[in-house]
Amino acid sequence: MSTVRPPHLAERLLQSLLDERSRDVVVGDLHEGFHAVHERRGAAAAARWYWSQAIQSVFACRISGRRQADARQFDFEPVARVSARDLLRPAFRQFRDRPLYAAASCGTLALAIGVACASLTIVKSAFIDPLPYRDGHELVSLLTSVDGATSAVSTHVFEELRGNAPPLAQLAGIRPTSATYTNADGTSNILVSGVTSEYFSLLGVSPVQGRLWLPDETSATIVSDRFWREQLSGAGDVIGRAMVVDGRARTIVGVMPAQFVPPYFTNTDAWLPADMPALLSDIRTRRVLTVLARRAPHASQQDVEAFLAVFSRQQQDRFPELQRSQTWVARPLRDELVGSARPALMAIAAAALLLLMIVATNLAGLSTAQAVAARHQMAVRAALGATRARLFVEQLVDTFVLSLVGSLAGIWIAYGLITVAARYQQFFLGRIAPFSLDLPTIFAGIATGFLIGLFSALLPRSVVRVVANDTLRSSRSTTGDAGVTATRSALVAAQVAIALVMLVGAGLLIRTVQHLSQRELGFDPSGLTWLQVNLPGARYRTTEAQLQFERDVLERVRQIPGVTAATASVGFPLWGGTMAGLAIKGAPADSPRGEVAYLSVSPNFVNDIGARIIAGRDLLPTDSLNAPKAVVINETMARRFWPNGDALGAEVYIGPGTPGREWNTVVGIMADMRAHGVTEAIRPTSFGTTYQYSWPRRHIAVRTGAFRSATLAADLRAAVHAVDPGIAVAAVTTAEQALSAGMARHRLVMIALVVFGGVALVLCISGLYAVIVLNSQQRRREYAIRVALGASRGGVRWLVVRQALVLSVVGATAGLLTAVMGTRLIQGLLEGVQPIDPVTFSLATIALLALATIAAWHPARRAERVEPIETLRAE
Amino acid sequence: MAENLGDFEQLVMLAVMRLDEDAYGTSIREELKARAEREVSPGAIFTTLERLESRGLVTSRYGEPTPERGGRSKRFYKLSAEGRRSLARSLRAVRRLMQGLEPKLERS
Repeated sequence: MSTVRPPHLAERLLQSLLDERSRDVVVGDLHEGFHAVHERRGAAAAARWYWSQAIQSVFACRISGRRQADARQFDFEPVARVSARDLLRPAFRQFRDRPLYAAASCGTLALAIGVACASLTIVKSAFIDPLPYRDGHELVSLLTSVDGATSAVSTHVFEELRGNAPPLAQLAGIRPTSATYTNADGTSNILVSGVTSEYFSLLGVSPVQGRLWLPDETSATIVSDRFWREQLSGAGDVIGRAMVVDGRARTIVGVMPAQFVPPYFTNTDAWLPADMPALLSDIRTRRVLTVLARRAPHASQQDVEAFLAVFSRQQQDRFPELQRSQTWVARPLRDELVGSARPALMAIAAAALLLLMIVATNLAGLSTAQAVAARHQMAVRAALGATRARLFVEQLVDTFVLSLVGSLAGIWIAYGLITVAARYQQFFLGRIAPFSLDLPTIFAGIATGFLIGLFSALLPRSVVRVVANDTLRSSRSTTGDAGVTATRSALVAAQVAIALVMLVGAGLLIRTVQHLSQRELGFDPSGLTWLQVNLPGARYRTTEAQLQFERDVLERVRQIPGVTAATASVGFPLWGGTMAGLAIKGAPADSPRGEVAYLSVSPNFVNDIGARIIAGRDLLPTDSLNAPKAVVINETMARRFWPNGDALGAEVYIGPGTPGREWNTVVGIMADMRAHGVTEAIRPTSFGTTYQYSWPRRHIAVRTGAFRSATLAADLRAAVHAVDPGIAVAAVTTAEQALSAGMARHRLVMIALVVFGGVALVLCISGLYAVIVLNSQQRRREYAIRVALGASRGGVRWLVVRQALVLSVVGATAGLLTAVMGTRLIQGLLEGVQPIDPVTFSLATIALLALATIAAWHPARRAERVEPIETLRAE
Repeated sequence: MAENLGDFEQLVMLAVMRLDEDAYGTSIREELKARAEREVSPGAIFTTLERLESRGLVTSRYGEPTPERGGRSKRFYKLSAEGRRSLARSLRAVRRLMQGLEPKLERS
């Protein structure tokens, strides 16, 4: 007999699930029963029997039995020892006993904590977390500033500063270029950065495989982790291998770690030693180097700025060809990296904070209602001898359990939100290391959850009085007294105020996005698709070869089915152009030189792109290499530099260096295009022909009509490869994609504010509804008397609706005042709408009041149907 | 103290009385199965007896450990005087209510 044993696992489960009182008896009984069944019906039946009886026994002992035997409600010995288990079990049982309350509390708390933690993570990584470089707070970005617009630095200036600027301990220059990478499979476009020798030590980073290059290794290269994985298949033996970049063989000496995100040009595939002699052979006014610097140990930001002011003056004196307003400035690297995203981040963080506040008030309202509902039970227990301390501790434990569950769910939500946000990181914080939820943020989230829980536990305690005798004598009603109603009304008014602020914020962003998407682009983006190519190597050194390529490709792409127009340019409108100095012939020698953007385009470009000539003519095929040089300028440029309206026919020089070698005639003025994306200001821009000014790269743009071939992208690539299979084609982009990417940040903030605002609205309206229901229940007797005395039913209905409206109007007034002050925070994000926009403010208020009326409608109908006789008799 | 007994509590108490000196988990379970056609788990019987004991209606004592129980002791139950009174009162109430109904009940 002793050889047969009951199922081990079932026995173990019983051992762990039963308490010590029941364990021996129940397990003994089961053991005995098991042997009996085994003798009669065999091993399998006995095991089945044992399992089913074990489960039923656990159920009986732990749940149904306990429920009847749960001592807490009746255990009122003041000196009785209370174990943590006695407090915790009922706290968890809330989820079974009052599921609606528990779910509502945990759910709203989770949502708020989730949103707050996600926002905190993003804001923290932008403003607080150290930059992922050695002593990142000492790093500055050195920029040339002309008329307040900043750009890269001349190589000559870099050389003069290097070693001669005491407040700057180290300087590193970066020269990014798009390059062609050739391997056995063909060619592809990659981004390479030529960097000076200090680059890696300045950032305090080093390769994870291999090493840095030595001073004399001019053909060495270090590749990014992504390049290593994607292009070199993550091979273990890449160090020392050769790779061909722009037709030149280079030796891989290192691979950067995956977590290294360069501060500029984050998508860099490979770093090469900058070719300083070549860069220095260029003229002084060409600004191509992006410069990073580290402040000397004891130098402050002010020291650096003072030094650069003196340096700028010296440069002006030495080189008269510089623009007058040209200076050099140093910006803390963090400002550079976060810079323009600040208002967007602030808006999202503020919205998350408001959401947290509205949830806190909502929870306080819920728990007040819960405390009122539980008052009778509390009174019974108090009458039977439970101490106030015991009741309070129980209440705290109940709240903390809810807060903990809510906060943990919130952390889970935050994790999801951050995963989603990371996907959009490129639009606002692309140059900051990827977001991730860290421990301090998780603790902050849980702590916030507890604080909110504490607030919502303490508030009802101060308003819901449990006086045993009074409460027990009165009827067992679920309604509260005047103090409770006043508190809940104040909470609802606060929620209305916060919700209104969020609605106004969301409304302003909606108006901004609407404004941006309706903004006149100045050209026709419909059906426009483009791609970019680099023309590498010796083959395309001459303008003639570049033009031949352009003509051949255009001819081929025009034959693709559905293509109605095709054009080529160096620099595409939505991509931007080169900034260059402008000189006007005949202008006084000391008149300030401006800066304008410059693009080279093929003839009829203005027409092909769907832009409009407002004076003069488009560029034509006759503006050829040997013809007089012609440019078309945009309206902004014409207005800025020829305020008298005599731009047409003016002779200008656009480019670095000294004017005078060859002048261009302004042959046409075109209507402004949003050449640099919808959200940016229009810059003065000029267009010449690729016939007259050519560089070895092209954007090829085609327009398709109603029919757009599904294989258009492939057809375009094929057309390029038919002309020259050795040319890599970078991503094919449509104008719609580029335009919506240009608005992505505004859209993201809008979506965040709309979603947060929607949640706030739902919370606030449900809170309002609950208070109105409570109030009208309390005032049932009053309504009955009014009806009995002859008041109309409509009058009673109005009484209820009026309550809702009074609460909403009080809340809305506070909300409007807050919004007037608060919307200034997001001013930087708004376009085409004032921070205090009357339309948005009034629409948001009307929407809120309308919803409040609707929320009051149901209780109002119930109140109006009050039966005076029955109600009064019941009282 | 007029405490009411539940239906299952009455059955368990009757079984304990019938088994006299041999009333413990397994025997009570078998008695209930044989006579009342009720299949219940050891856990249910245990919690019921616990409850009855806490109300002073039954008393219990531990026996010697036995091998067929895996070396665990039997826990024997006995009705207390209060238990017997309580059971008698419950059953008296049932009997009084049943008076004159037997023929009808037999038929159904």
